[in-house]
Amino acid sequence: MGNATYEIYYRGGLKPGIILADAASKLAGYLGTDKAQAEKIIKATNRVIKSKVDKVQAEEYASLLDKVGMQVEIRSTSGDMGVSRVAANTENATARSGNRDVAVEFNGQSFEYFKIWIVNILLSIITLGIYSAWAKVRNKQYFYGNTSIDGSSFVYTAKPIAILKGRAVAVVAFVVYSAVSEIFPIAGLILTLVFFLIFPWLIVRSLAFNARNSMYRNIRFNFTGDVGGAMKNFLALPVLLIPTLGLIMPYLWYKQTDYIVNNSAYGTTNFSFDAIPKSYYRIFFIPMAGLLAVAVLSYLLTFVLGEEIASVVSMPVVMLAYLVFIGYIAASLGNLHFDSSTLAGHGFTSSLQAKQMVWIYFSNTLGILFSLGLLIPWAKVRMVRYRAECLTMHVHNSLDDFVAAEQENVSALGEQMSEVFDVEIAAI
Amino acid sequence: MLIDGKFYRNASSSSQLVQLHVDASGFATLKLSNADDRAIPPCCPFTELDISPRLGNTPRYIVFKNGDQFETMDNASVDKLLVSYQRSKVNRLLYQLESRILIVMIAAVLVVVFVWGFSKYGVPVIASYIAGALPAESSQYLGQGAIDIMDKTVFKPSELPSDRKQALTSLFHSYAEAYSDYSFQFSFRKGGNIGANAMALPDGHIIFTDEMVALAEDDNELLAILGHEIGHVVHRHLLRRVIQDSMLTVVLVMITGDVSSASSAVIAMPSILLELAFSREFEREADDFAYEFLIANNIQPVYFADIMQRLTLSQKELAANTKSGVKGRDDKDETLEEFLPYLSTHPAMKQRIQRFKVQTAIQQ
Repeated sequence: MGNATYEIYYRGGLKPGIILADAASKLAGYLGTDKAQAEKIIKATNRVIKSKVDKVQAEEYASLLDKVGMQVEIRSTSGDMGVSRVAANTENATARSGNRDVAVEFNGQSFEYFKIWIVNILLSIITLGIYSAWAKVRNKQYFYGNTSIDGSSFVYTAKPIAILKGRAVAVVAFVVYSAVSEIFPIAGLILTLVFFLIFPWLIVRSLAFNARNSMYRNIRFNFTGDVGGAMKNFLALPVLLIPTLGLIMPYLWYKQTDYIVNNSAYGTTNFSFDAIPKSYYRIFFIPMAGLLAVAVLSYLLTFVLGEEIASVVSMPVVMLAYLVFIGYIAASLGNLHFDSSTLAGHGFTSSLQAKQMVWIYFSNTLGILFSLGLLIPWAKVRMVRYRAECLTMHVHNSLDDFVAAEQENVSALGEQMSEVFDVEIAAI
Repeated sequence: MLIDGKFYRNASSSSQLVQLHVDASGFATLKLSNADDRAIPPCCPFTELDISPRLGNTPRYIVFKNGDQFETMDNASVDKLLVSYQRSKVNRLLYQLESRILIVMIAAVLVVVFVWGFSKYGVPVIASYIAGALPAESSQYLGQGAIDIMDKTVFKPSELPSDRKQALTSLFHSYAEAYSDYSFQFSFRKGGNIGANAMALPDGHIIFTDEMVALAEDDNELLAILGHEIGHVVHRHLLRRVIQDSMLTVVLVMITGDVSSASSAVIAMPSILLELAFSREFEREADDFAYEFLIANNIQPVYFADIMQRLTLSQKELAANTKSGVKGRDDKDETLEEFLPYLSTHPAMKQRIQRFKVQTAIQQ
């Protein structure tokens, strides 16, 4: 015990009920800095806030920060043993009571992922695409494995062979579809119709495959939605977009997310979703208004500057507006979805900021374009890291009581068809 | 060797701190991490354990036959065990490949070179081969939709006198019948906002606008345009373009995978630039064909140069008149084309007609 040094690790998030402003003033008072600086410290989560202190000092700091409202833990750092947690944890399955906030941790590194990503692409190319099924599993598992909640990480359990089989069928289907629709347009139209009809089935199989192949603490997730529900929310309802001039779009989004989350489960425990359509309308109102303003602006520009110059100038303006639009929506929807989802008494809070999202999208896009695509892994890690940083789980008592459900194996065909035909369905 | 980790019973989310131990005979046992030495079930030979592949520094999972799971961060020890039991050779190799900087750099260079090289050169070659292998009839519906749309929106019925139309049609046929694989058909439209132009459908239907006919000062100039259009048909450009665009999309999307972390511009921009490059290549090929066509038929290539120059002027005038009518923009158009050649669908005009002028000089 003599040499033991300790560090204070700031997991992040203020204790429930504490407002940022209050915490910042208290912290500013203790540290002797200004409020803005204190706010910065509070916002910078998941890092060591004080290191190389002895046990007494560590406990003093921790209690001070605790009074401010910050969630910290004391860790021992003794030489070669690395970091082990001194503060009590769920390790020994003794029931813990009460509520606590748990940060979602993401430990992925851009360069580490880049190495995996690029080597896997090369192998996929060399094997004419056959290895791509293994590449997909490895790429996904990198993100799953580096994401942890309450000390346990996620596992992507899909078997590459299953994905390969699904992928082979999907690619053949895609080639046939493309060829036929170009050469025999009538037959092409029929095939498109067929695709629309099987679309709900694809959605259900895709969601089920991904859910059942996602595991946390040895229990798989599940998706139990039926094709009828998918048909209603992804096929029938969207038809109404045209007669309503797109005004039911937010409602549509609400129904689709509601369908996905309410039919998802962790083991035998269902998720529930309590958002309301009004929240969606509130989110979409601002960007819709903004888009209208941009459209009017571009039209005016055309008058003032003449068509040629206007089209050169308005292109970056429109692209910027588009980026702001999707950044704002992504942040707002991301927050709404997590805030409205609960799992048997456990909840989530997401605090994504539109400004930050827009900046990440923008810099990711530029980075990827100028690096000829080589910065794609960096962009992906950045985005996932930000989303994880902003996500907190409110755990009620413990996460030890979940039970696995009986599940049948789902083939990868639906999921691969969705991927090859570029159908993206996800709640997050 | 003892490996620290967490143990989850099958179907339960609660865990215990344990240590995995593999003895000299290859038998794996688990012990609780606290004081006592009891072994807890399950136990089995190491060879029966399902061990997840190493991926960076992510946790490693060892799954027992009954679904119980052991999770550990101690990748190094697991790897040592795998090496001594000669297991997971392929997975170990993959991890080595992903960790060696040299391999990573070589991979980066190879992938970039391959993807861009294949997109720019490989895709057109493959598309050309496929288009050549398909029967001529396979293109018969291609592009039909575009003409229908133009007929409904921009084109109006031709106002050329019918004897002029008939004369031109017979003239065109007499030169086109040399290409007996294709059945040609000629028609005329009033171009309206399109102005002087000509277009060819893959089924052999070639359309001239009235304005193009009026622009020509000699029927030989129209024959030069005819040569260019026949070139598009014979080389199956539209079919190749369709195949190329599909292939390009598949290559870019499959290679880059999921790019939801950035705007879709990252796929769109490279696609657009490449497709414009393809388009310029097609126009060059059609120009080449026009040149050979003119020489073979003893028509001076300069006719092509003349009408193309007049065409450029007339297009600029048209743009100036139909849009906002701001004067003095003609110079800007040309500069834009010179500075940003990769944004254009056609090769720069001066380059295009260069050879049609030069060769003529030699001929004379």
